[in-house]
Amino acid sequence: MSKKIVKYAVEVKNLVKSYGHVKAVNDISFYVEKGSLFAFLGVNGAGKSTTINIISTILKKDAGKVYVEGLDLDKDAQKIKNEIGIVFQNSVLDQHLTVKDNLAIRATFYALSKEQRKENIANIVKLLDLDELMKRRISQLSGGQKRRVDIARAMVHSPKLLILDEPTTGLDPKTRQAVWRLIDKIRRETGMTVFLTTHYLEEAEQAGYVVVIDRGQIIANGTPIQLKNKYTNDYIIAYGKINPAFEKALKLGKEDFHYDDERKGYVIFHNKRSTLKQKIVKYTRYINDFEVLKGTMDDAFINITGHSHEEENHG
Amino acid sequence: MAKQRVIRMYNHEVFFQLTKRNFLVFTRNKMRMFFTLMVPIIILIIYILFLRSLELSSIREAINSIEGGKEIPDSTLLVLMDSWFLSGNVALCSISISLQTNNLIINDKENGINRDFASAPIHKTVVTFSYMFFNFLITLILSFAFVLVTFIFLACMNEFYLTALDVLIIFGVLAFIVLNASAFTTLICSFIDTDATLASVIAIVSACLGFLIGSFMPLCLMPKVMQDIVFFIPGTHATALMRFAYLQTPLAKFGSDFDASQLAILTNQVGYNLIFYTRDMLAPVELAVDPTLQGGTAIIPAIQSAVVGGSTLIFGGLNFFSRKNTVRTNIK
Repeated sequence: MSKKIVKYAVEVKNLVKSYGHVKAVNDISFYVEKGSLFAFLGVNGAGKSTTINIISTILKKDAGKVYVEGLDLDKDAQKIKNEIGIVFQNSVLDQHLTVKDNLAIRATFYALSKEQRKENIANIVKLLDLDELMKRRISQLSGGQKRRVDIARAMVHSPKLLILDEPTTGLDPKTRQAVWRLIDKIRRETGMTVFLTTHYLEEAEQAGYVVVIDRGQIIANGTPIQLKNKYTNDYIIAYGKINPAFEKALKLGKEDFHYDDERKGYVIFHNKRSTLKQKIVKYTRYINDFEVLKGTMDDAFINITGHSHEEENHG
Repeated sequence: MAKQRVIRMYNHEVFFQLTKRNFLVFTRNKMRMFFTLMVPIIILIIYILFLRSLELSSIREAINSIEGGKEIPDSTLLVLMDSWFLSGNVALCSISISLQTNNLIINDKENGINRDFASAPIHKTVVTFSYMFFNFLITLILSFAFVLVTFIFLACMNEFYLTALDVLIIFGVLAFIVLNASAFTTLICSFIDTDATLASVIAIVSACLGFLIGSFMPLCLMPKVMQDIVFFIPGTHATALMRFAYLQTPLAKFGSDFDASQLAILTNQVGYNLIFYTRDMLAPVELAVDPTLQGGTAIIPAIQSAVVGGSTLIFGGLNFFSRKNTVRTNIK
């Protein structure tokens, strides 16, 4: 019997989910390549968690098709559960139990032999460097250590797909980086597909493929480079005080520019009329200090969604 | 066939591991254990400090209201009265402890742990009955501890007349009524989603249940309509069963000290015997004259056991149908 070759870890087709009159997910379609690091980017309430809850079989969809590792969600939900591990936004660890208890009990949820469970846990402990924490209670761990255990708990059955719902929310920048290195290590060493949701643009930038979701709809997708190329321009920052003569020259040159009060300089965008190098040469008499910057995911996000990312998350 | 056997074994393993998990999560929080046991202990302290003398004088008055009755010493009345109250409190604590223990189910809903269960290939039925079994174990252990407290109290008061067989019967009845309480409270908690709601339910149940099932006061003191309604509460029958277990030997020992009318008052009015559907409210003198209890029906322990056992099966069945509520994920 030939085994069906599965190309995608996740395939979502025309997925719809509503809460009353609110369409949390509105006819979205995308796929996640096996072994890739996939980022689902969007502000809070964009529909990211709803989508992954459906993929994880926790939430029922209204319409559409979902396939995980080639398995149809409508027919093989129980089998899909064996193929995925999910790290929730809020930790689901039992605070009064030890790391060892948490992992051992979670491992019994899957029909694995005792030996297999032991082996899986030993591998994860080694991979995530948890050996010293095994006898400690979860309540005694730091935020970063808890996150590591959360990830380990999701991996006790060696899933093919690891889903992480905003894994670094609430962590300090240093711990966030540590978690990121860990996710990268997991993917490199296990070949597992990693599907993460995030509203941190710098996190999405490290993914192999990004899908941007806003108000329940996919509004852009591509690799981070593709998104930046498509939705941002490179620009020059010409540092200095406000200079009417410089502004007059820029207007005459029909440049797209503005003065940035925070950075104390003129931001001059790249356009088709001239290269950045030509601009620097052209306005060299007004420029003492300058910097050439590539467009960021932040810029791409603003251009894609039409609104500032921070505005949405905080407002 | 072989595949089904593997699945069954796997479900058993998950059931025991989940029960173990629930047990560990609950017992490692020592404060939670302590406060759960405090409720019946506080009721016992209130009884010792305030209610004991009050109850004694009211029983003494009822017994002495029979003309030509025997003179009963307070020490004899106290043996029966203390056993009556303590057995009622044990029955009540089986329900109150069980309800408080289910705090774990609500916490699992609130903290999103149910989502983790939902994402794993485990059945809702297994999760639901692991909660129920865990609840049974914890409630049994804590109630057992409280029963030991009641034994110590009786011994300190020189009122311990229970035989080894009585003690065994008490523990047997305890396991039986705790199972009933666990099935009942797990069902109730399947409909509760927040800690705040559970706290309100515990407050209401703690305030009312002791009276409704006849733990704190004899059922015959209730309005007639309430007497008929409480017949349908399994806790009423559980209390009567526990009363039987605590009082049968002391009553046999001291019964001859009373005349027939006095004994009828003691056993019928204070609620050792369960009597339902009387024509009117029971009055001591009428009871003495009419041992058929004004047309009412006396519920014997065998019937009480059948009611408790039957309701346990019904609650267990309803838990099966309510399993989706028990492991609800509250995703919005």
